[in-house]
Amino acid sequence: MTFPSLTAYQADALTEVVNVSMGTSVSELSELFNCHVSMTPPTLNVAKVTDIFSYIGDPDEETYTILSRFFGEMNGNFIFLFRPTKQDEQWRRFLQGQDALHTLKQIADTVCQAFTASFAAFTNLTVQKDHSQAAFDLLGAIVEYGFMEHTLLSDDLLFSQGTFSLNDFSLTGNLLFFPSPESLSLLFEKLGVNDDNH
Amino acid sequence: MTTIKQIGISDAFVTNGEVTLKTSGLGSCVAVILYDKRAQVGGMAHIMLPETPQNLHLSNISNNPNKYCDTGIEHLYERMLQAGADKHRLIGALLGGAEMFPFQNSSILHIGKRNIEESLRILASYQIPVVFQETGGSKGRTVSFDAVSGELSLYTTGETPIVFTI
Repeated sequence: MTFPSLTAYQADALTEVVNVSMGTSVSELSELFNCHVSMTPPTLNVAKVTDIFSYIGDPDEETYTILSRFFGEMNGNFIFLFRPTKQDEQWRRFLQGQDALHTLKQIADTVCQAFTASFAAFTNLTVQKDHSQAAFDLLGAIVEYGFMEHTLLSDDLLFSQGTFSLNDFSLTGNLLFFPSPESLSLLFEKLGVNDDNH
Repeated sequence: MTTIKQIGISDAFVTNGEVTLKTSGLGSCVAVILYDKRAQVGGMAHIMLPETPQNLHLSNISNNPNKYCDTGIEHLYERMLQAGADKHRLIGALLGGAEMFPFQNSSILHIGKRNIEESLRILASYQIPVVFQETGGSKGRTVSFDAVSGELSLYTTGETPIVFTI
């Protein structure tokens, strides 16, 4: 499958599933940390590998990152890029605390768990979340790892990108969702929007 | 005035002018630099994968030579000669090839190491000496190279930037 052949129906259906799954994740997050979490609806993008950073950001930016994989009937990666909403004292204290990476990982795990559960329920696919890994590194180095496996199958990358903010932590999380190209046929079949139908 | 040419993923550029070649956020990918100091011709490729798949012609993947070590270095070498470099004077530098995340059940396990090994093998086949190598580890890198001065700058996450003239 090449991504540019994605039909409008397929793009709409996938956007809807991702939107619902992210909404569920944000609710879980709000409950876990007992705070208000705001979110911008995720967008669905198809980009050439060579153009990917014009969508995501400066590859030289150093960010706190969590990478989490999911597998089963569908596989791929989640990448969380955590940034401060403002470089204030609250953010500085948070990062200096011993539990900063642990907290970020907890946020990422909560979102991934809820996202994959919602995604699986919506699509009737068996999908499980793998363990996650944390890093503080260059955005370019992190993100290329997240899609490198997919470039074995395609030059184009399909990904969604959404943002949520935890104001109590002065924290914004950018969630990138990279489904594997080989998973998409089955996904669209389950959603009833495979090529034969539309 | 020197201009900066940003080299993206699966991209390459050769210059014989006042251009600084830069590639940002190298993780498991490698940056291959070729240089002819006397001719002041320099080139850089940001390569993602070790080798071209054998069934490439059957797939939907385009044949971007800069994506793979085997075709990427060959392509860079040919462009260097076209720009006026002498093959007997070529020297090389290799950077990147980190293992960013140690996921075990992955088809890209040890991809950084494989990129390094394949690049060194191909550079050796062209008898190009590697005069600077900063590879492996688990941190991202940003590299820039000035083809006039031969000055190579390297930033590795969390470390002090270094400058080296090749």
